[in-house]
Amino acid sequence: MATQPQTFWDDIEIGRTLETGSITLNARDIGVFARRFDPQPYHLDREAGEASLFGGLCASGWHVSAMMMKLVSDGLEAANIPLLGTGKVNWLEWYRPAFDGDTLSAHVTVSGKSRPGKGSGPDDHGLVECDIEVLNQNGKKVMALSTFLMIALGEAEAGGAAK
Amino acid sequence: MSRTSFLRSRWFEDIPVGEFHVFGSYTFSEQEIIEFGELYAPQVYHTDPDAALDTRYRGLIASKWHVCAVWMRLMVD
Repeated sequence: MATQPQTFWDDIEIGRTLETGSITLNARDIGVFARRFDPQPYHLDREAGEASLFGGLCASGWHVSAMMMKLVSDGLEAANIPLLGTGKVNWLEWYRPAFDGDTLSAHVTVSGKSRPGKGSGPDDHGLVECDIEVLNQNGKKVMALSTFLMIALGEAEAGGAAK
Repeated sequence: MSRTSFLRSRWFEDIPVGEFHVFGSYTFSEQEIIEFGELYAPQVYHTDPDAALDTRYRGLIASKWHVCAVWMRLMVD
């Protein structure tokens, strides 16, 4: 699908942003995830959700996290940025519920770049530290995290180490 | 019937700092790692056992978000 030239770790600048596509939540998907991983009433039943402190049927925070990963994965794919793995999550916060019918998208900002230390596996990637925000259709922040993405090195950085 | 109906409810004030629980265990199957990967984390090391051998992980691994979700289930149960 990717039509642009590949963008490697070397090419990524601090401050660069990436806008992802979007996912619209429905009650069925919220329920499927919740029955498997987070079977609490406010994720399973509309009336129970409305009576809860969240005020409506809402997705598990881990479901929102998983959807964030899908949005970011597809966004990197579309931008032709090769993701070789992910690293530490520095922090993660959920700010407000993601309700049935909400449309979520993610906004990624590069906050730092580094090379991994020796002994962390193949020397084929650099670390890109990112702030990732998940927003709803009103532009309100649903969750955010700071994490590291392992992005492939270009020829210049990888030198003879590249396959 | 809910198992919790046999247990005495414990409230915020009943829980001491330092309380420790082991929530049980969970075994990941290849099939569910792939299902989760295809839905949420479509990297080959989560979706293709053969192609995963050529990645830094040297095999199929579960997404960290899958591990988090399973931890949630163990805690809720």
